Amino acid sequence: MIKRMILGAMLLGNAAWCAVGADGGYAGAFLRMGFEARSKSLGDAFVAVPEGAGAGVYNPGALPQLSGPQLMMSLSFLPLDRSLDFVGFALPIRPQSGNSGARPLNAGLMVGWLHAGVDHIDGRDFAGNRTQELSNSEHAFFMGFAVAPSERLSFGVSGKILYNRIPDIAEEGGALTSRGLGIDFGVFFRAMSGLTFGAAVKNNMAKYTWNTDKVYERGTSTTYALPRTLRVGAAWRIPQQWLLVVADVESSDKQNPRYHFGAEATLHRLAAVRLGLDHGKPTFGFGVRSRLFGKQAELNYAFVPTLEALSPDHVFSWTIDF
Amino acid sequence: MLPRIFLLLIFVCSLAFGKTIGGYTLHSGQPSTGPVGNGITDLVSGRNCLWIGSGEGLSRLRLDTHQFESFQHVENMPRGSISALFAKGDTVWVAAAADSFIRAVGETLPYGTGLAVSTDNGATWTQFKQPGVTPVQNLCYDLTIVDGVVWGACFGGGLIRSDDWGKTWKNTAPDTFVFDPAAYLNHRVFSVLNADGVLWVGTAGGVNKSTDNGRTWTNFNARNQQNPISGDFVVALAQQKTEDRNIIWAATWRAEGQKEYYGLSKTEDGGASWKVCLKDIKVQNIAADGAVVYAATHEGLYKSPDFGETWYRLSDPVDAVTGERVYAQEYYSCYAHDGQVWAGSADGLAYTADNGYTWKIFRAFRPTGVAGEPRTYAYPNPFSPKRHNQLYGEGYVRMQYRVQKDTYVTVKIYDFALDLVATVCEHKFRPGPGDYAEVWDGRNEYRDEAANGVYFYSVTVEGEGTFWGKILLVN
Repeated sequence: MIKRMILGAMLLGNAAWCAVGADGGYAGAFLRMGFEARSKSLGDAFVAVPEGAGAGVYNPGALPQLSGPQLMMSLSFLPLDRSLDFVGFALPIRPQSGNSGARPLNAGLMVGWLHAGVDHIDGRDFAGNRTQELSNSEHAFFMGFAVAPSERLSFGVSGKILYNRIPDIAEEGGALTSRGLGIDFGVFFRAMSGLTFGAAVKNNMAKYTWNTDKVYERGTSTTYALPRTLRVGAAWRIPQQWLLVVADVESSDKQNPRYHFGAEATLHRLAAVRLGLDHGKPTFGFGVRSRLFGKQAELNYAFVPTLEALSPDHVFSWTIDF
Repeated sequence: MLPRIFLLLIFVCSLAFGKTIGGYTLHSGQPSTGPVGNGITDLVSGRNCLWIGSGEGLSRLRLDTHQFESFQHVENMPRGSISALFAKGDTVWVAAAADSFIRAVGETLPYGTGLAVSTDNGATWTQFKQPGVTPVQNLCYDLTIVDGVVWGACFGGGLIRSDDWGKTWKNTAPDTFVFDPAAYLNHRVFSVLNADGVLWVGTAGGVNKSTDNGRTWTNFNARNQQNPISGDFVVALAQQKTEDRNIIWAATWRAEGQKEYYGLSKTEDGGASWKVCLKDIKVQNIAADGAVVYAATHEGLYKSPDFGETWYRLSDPVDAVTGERVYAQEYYSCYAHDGQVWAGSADGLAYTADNGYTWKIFRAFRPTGVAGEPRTYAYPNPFSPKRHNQLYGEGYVRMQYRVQKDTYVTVKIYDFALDLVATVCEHKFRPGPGDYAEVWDGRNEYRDEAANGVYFYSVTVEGEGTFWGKILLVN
């Protein structure tokens, strides 16, 4: 029965997914994917959720609202020889009140590294003969900072360094690389107990510039801008605290709007089950909390059906509270 | 600057040449599904066959059985791209070239890998090293035989001749000066022709004619006649002979003269005067068939039914059965006989027997789904839409697959996030069993260029399954 439900959800998701326009193909596609298990299983709706070391990637404005320092590691097992891994550390800063009694300015910091890769690319010449096996790796290094002028409102900014590398493709077996910079802005607003809003403008000025002089006889310099996206979302945790409902709307200067929805049910603060809808795709997941080396830790898992004849995405994330 | 165009041609053709040549040799041609390479550099007729030079080596089409044969790895065959071909009866001469990164100059340069001859219609071969001081930038572009003397057109090596069937070679020049290609454009040789015992030689300094097999010469260039050739850079020569007319054709490109221009020049009076047609078009090769003459050019295949008086361009080849196209506008070679026309392009070999109304296209590819090969692959990979398989400003990558029976096929492209980029074809009928390729132009459905990176494609064959492949797009 469960298998049938999952298959039904996959078919429903695929149908919804296929109904949207073919608007892929822009630079930095890995930045538009959910990269950690909790957010991914919530349909990638996370711009208004100030929880976890990955929250600052979704919305740097959420950093001062974090409950405490947290380390996150995430591994994604994706079909088609893709990989997507994240490690990040986020830290809220809450200075003590001074002698004057004035309220100190809360703040937050975040550093993170997101890596995407594809292996086993079948290199072929103009007659279809095998040449070499190729690969590609892409990196984004984040550094975010945010301040909270009031308890309800915070603003943040995150700079990211982009690095793209295709090894063994240039003359004499060298690599072709490209670098870029991008800036994300975010704002977070706590409207009332349990209800939060967030907004982030991402990939400002972000682009890759490629120079193929070492690859082709007549190399060129080509620049590809990453789509700039605006993501607005809300999260509501019911007064009884066991249910979280989230929703994000994402618009872009190049792609169609995308909608993300998710819900999380927490059981005795020890485990959680999640489901969501990420741009038409159903998502599922769960998390368990336990103590590890004297620290509170959480293991999260996400399961996302993908396209026909492909195995689903499996994402595992570990978070440790300090 | 002048020879660089030619060197580039050889480079482009040899892009397809694999980094490794199989460590085995064959003693004769082996059956193949098509030509061994898709950059068709030369086409010449032999005994009951058509010899096909390509960027990946030599192949042959048997005209009686319509069977292709590969001579890529036969014993004593120089490795690399075929840069020159000559055939008459059972005699076949071949010259080959390759590219190598030369550290001294810090760039990739072509070099001649040698010559080979067969006197038994390709059954056995004898190989000779590249004549000249150095093989670098010294490759043979054309070959002919006059009264038992083998003549070769070499850039860097000049006009080479062998009086002993290839054992020894002399570097000569089609004039009275001491051979020096650095000093004289006329010593950079690109084409040779035997027209009824008269030796014609095309260089970067015009057309040269010798009626005594190389002892004395007459030069015709863009300045020394009242009705001259269009340009001094002569990349191809051909003879068109009927009962009442004898025409020498020359593909004459602009060299260094300010008044020179690209064109196709012809003479009917032994070179005394020339008439130019196909003005401003880069002609690569010429083929005659009775009163009809064909020109392989950078802008397609042209035909004249009346000895060059009027011209028109043949339709772009589209295979009448498979829908396969030639994704190139550049044609390097052509051959015609009794209304049957073969055109060698940068992207395969096209054939028509009805004036271009219907075409059949022959291409080199690796069959999918056989031992050692996946159910689908994309090529060329990496793919550059700005450089590869260019047709009217767009570049194309092929996704090769096989169907076992009559069925319908859907092909889609996705990016790293598995966002749909393009639907290449949907529910397209494909008769089986057979090998097919669909193409993608590197754009999404909003016609935006896809960014550099990895793309995934799915080939859904109804009744057989969905198969995935990857494309590395690098512009």
